[in-house]
Amino acid sequence: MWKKQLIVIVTFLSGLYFFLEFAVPPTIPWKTTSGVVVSKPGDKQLQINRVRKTASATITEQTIVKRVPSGGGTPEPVPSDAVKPGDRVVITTETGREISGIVMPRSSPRRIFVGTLTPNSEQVSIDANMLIRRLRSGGSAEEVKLDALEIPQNTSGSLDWINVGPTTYLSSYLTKVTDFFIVLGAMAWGMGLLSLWLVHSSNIRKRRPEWYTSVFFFIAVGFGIIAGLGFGRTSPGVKYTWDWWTYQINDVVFWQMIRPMGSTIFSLLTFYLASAAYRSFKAKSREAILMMLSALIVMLGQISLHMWITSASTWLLYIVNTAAIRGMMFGMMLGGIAVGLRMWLSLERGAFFDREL
Amino acid sequence: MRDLLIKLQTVDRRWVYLAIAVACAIPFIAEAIGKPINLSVYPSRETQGVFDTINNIPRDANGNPTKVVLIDSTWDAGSMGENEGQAEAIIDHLFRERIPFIVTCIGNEKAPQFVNGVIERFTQDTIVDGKVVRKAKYPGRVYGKDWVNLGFSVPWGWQSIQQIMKDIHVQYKADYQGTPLEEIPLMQRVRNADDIYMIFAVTYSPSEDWVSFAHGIYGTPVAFGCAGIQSTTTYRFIPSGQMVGMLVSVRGSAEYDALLYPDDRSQRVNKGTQLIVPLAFGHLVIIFAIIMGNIGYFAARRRRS
Repeated sequence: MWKKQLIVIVTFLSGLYFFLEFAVPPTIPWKTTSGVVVSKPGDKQLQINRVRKTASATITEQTIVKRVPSGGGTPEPVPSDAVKPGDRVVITTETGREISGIVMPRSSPRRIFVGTLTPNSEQVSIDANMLIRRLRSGGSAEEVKLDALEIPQNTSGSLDWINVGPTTYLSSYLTKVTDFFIVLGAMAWGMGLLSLWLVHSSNIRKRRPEWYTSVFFFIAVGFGIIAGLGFGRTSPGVKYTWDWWTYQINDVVFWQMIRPMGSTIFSLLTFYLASAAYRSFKAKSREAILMMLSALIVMLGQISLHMWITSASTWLLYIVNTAAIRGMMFGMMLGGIAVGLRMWLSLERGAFFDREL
Repeated sequence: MRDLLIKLQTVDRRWVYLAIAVACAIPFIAEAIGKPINLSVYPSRETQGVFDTINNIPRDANGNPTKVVLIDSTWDAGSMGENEGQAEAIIDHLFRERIPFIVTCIGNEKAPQFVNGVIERFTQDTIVDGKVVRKAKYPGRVYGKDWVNLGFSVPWGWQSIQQIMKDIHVQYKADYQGTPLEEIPLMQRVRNADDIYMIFAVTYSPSEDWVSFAHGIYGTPVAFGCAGIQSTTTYRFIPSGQMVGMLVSVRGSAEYDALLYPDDRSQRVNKGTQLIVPLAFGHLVIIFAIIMGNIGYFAARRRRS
């Protein structure tokens, strides 16, 4: 029984973690300072200035955005989506008006808000539990160490805009949790191979019917591993060396075996599909006639016979099909929520919940 | 006569198989004897959407793209008939426009080699028995600067997608050859969603998690290349603006090829362009078989009544 409880607890906790990581801000909001870094008075201290909004510019094709380099200098033209909060910019609008200042958060490639430095600055001590998040050009933030911050000689150029505050710890563990999933995924592959190994070795040991196919399994796994080692080599190298063999086996396994065999097996579907369509598409009822006609139009639309057929096919796919699929998905999602609630409330019965693991 | 018509609904399935095989073979035979059959292609809204989005990539003052395109290519031998042409068309466009791209293969260990095969056809001459049988279209493109193949990763699903969008250097420590990402010039300037202009997920049935976790959270444009049979479930994301477009089956790649080379048919060597005519012939046989079956069905029903 404990295995079942372990699975339920791990599933619930991981779901809860990802939900909280998504919903809870990375730093405690009321203790977070937001602004541009102007200086570093001590080893573990930062001086952050606030910026007051002064203007905004709508970006059109005629708008010219120029960015002042860090530390000051001549502004250089940049695309509007390349500027990040904290950059000092000079924007010439399509009417010829010139706007300059520091780019603020909430700016987008279509509209840039600029502001000026306010006189009041704040000194922040960077303790071990403080998280520094530097804003990037798309509006998202990246976690940085104190040493990675660019401290300018003066404030006449572009600056770094940061949000700094005590961490809520959730985001800090995202990498570790994702690594855990990567390890789990890798383990699943290993366990799959182990399981196959046990089944096929048992077949051979006990000489079960068609046991010789299990021998092929081991040969295929061996060749597959060697072929995998050969992937990534750009040339076969010197003949009859290990590298040469792995390269050659990779070539044979992937391009001469997996590729044609995989394609052939999948293409067999075409024949079954044609036969199934011939036998099942009969105008037995009004619904069947509707389905058959729409299938015919969509099929003809796939092969570009005529513009109006393509248009009719597009209409069916975008309007009728979309409405039907959305309805189905909506129903499925409601069903999913219902099942989830039943599981949470321990009302669910079935193979997993009724059987001892 | 009526007996003959009734028999039309009970034709042995092997005749249907044979008809399909012959119909699909005819265009290849015609091409082999120097009389290729060509079809007009009318680019659809979903294909045009992908094409326009790639064309509109932001560029700096020197005309260089400021961001990269991420191709999540997880197709392999099973669906290569439909997906290879799609990957080929997009990569052709990206190389032509000098747009750098990153390839990921989440959850399919065979996929990196298949997509590499497509890229190498563009960058390296095809040599058979010491002779060049096909010249590379873009021989000047450099690995690590114009494209990077990050290869296979686990787990399949949203955890990987979320991590790629947050910090791709955490999800991938090295590329498919084992080179650390810090040593690859292109990857030095690609960190997270801000550096990715667009995502093109190409496989039999691309993960809808790209729509939720890439477009939904970061607003990154997403496009799919998928099998025809799977496309019906993803059309719904296009009118809602959650996807910029989609390449559907062989038709999608043929249409994209036509958009790439509107005036020069000789340039259209994409797998999609090669397969659209056999596909058309196959569809016509299926349609003909359905009509025949229904004639037989109505003849039998009339006799019964």
